Amino acid sequence: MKDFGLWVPSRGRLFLAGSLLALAYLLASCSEVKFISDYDENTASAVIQLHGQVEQFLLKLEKTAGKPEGSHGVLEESYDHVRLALSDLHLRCAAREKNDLQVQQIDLISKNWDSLEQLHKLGLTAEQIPPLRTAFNVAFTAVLRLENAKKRGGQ
Amino acid sequence: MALELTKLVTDMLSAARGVFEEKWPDVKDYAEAEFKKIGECLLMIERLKLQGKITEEQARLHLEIQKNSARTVLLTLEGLHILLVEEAINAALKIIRDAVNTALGWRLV
Repeated sequence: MKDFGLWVPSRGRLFLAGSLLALAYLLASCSEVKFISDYDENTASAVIQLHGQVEQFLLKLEKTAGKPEGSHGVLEESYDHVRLALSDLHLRCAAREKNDLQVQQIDLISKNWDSLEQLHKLGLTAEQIPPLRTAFNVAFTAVLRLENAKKRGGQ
Repeated sequence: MALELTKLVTDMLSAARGVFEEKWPDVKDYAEAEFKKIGECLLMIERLKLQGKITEEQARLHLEIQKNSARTVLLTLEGLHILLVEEAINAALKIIRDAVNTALGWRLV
């Protein structure tokens, strides 16, 4: 093979260099304290997506409240879709260390979702929707705000 | 006697201030916003009750949703506070790192 004057490191050298870099990183970071999990872009995206799903549902509920197409029986499937997304988000949050606060937040949103369904079963009118929408908006914003605050340094 | 939003919010703020004590300035704005929402929810419940459009069970569910929403906000405030403490400790360690490590001859800090 023709030598173009470029130094090509062997696999052993690459491994050594990689190990040294990893060690340097560990030494530099070992004394830093961390009380809360790192930022996770996928969690932030999931929260935004879930918020959109809930918002869309509440808009539909507001428009159809009191009509046959707005009955719980017709819209029941939407509750399960959101519940499934909440369960996924809960799993993602619970799998990360030092993320208890966010897990608690997702639990509270899940409880609110169950309460919303209960209210729907009992009979919701359009005028009851705005405060419910605000409550969900506030909760999702709070979760996202905490997630974004976890961005540290170059994140 | 009819409920009044300003009085409801003022009473809630007054009670909460005593609990939060020195942390009150950090949470005041958030508490005001959340208590206002709870107050508005209670006024809606009162209005719907007068119109015979809401049961006690429904009212309890509405209030529970608002309370849980407020708790979500408070959890974020707790998280932000913890992150601030973390940042302060790391900044403190960073500033003494070189001096301590050089003096000890170990990468301790």
